[in-house]
Amino acid sequence: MDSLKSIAACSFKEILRQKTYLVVLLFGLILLGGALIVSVLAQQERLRMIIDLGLATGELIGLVLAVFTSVNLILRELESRTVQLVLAHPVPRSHYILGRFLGAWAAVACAMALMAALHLGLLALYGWRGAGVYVLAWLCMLAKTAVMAALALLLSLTLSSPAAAMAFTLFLWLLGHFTAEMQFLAERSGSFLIKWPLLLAAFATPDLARFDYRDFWNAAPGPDAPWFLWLALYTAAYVSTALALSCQIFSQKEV
Amino acid sequence: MSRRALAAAALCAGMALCAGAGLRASSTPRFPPLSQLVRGPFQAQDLQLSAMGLRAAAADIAWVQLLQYAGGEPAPTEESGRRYSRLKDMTLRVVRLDPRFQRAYAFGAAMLAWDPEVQRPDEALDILQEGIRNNPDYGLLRLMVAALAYKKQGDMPRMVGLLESSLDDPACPSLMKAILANIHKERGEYAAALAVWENVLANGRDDASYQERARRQIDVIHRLMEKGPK
Repeated sequence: MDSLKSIAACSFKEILRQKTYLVVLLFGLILLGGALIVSVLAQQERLRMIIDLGLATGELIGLVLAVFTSVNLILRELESRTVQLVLAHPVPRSHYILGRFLGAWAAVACAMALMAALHLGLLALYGWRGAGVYVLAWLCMLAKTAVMAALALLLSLTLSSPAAAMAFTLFLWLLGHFTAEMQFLAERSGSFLIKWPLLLAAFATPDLARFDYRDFWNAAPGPDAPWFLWLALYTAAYVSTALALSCQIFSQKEV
Repeated sequence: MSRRALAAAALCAGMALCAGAGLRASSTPRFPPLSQLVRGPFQAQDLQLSAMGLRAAAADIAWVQLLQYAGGEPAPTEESGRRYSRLKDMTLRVVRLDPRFQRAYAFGAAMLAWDPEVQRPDEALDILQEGIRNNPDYGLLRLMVAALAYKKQGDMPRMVGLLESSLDDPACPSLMKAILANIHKERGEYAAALAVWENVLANGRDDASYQERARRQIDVIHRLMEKGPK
C-alpha cells in the first residue's frame, strides 16, 4: 500500500511541474475571465451565461488535462525505460498503474478546484452566492474526467501510440454523448447486423450525457438522491473496469 | 495476476451495466434529441457543441445570436417579404438546445406578438405553447397566452392589465416592458408608461441598450406630461 501512495504522490508532483499542465491551466483561467466579458452580450441572462460558460470551460480543460496526462503517463516512461527503475523494486505492476492514475487524477482535480474557486469568485463579484447544486455540478464533471482519464490510460496501453490513444479517447468522448441516440437507432433497426453492434456499442461506451448535471440542474423535477448514488456507482464501476483491464495489459507487457 | 485482473474487470463491467440500468431507471432529465434541433445557418455550430455535451452553453450562444438578430436593423423586406422572417426559428433554436431557457420563449413571443414591425401572433402562440409544454410551472408564458387572446379579440384594457401584472416577474424581458410602455404612451397614459420605464431602469441593469432607451423615454414622457394630456 505504501508503494501505491508513493507512486501516486510522485506522479502528482511530476504532473504539477509539467509545462503543458501549467499552460493548459493558465489557458483555462483566461477563458474563465473571458466568459465574464462575453457574457455582457447576453444582457439579462448574463449570470446564466457566466455560470454555463465557466462550467463548460472547467469541463473542457479538465478533459484536456485528463486525456493528455493519462495518455503520456506510462507511455513516456516505457519509451525512456525509466519504468524499469520503479519496477526493479518490489512494486506490484497493478500498484504502479493505480498509483499513476490516482496521481494524475488528483492533479486534474486540483486544476478543476482552482478553476472552480476562480469561477465562484467571479460569480460572487456578480452577486451570486452559490448553491449546493453548483458543487454537485463540479463533482459530476470531476467524475466524468475520471472516466475519461481511465479510458485514456487503457487506450494508451492498448494502442501504444499517444496520438492514436488521444484520438480514440476524444472519439469515445463524443460518442459518449450519443448513447441515447445509439439505443434509439438500435431499437428502430430491423437488421440483426445493425441492431446488436449498436446496442453493444451503446452499453460499452460511457453514458457521458448522464454526467452533464451542470446542464439540467434547474430541471423540474431534478435528479433525486438515488440518481447521484447510481451515478457514483456507475463512475466507480466504469473506472475500475478500465483500470483492471489496464493492469491486465500492463502485466503482459515487456518492459 | 492476469486472471485476477480479468475477473475484477468482468465483475466491475457487470456492476457498471447494473449501475447504468439504475441510472436509466431513475430518469435523468434529458435534452430533446438532435433531430429536433432547428435547421438553418447555425446548424453545424449547434451540432458541434451538442456533440461535446455543452447544450446549455450552446443555448447561451444561440441566445446572444437571437438578441443580435432582433436588435439589428432588418432589411425592409427579407427574402420572404416579411420583417424578421427568421425570428420564430431563431427563438426555437435557443429553446430546442435548452428547453428550460424561459426568457427566450418570453422574448421571442413578445417580439412576434407585440412588436409593431412584426405582428405575427400565431407564430408567438406556437412558441408559447412549446414553452408551456416544457415548463409547465412557469406562469409568465400562460399569462402571455391569455394576453395574446385578448389582443386577438381587440380587448386592449384586459391585455394591458395582464401584461402589467407580469412586470415584477424577474424573467419578464425588457422588450416586453418596452412594448407595454409604448402602448401606454400611445394611449396617452403617461404616468403608467413612466412607471414601466422606471421599472426597466431599476430591474434591467444588465440590459445596457434598454437602460439607455429607458432614460431617453423617461425624458420624453416628462416633456409630454409637462405639455399636458393627449
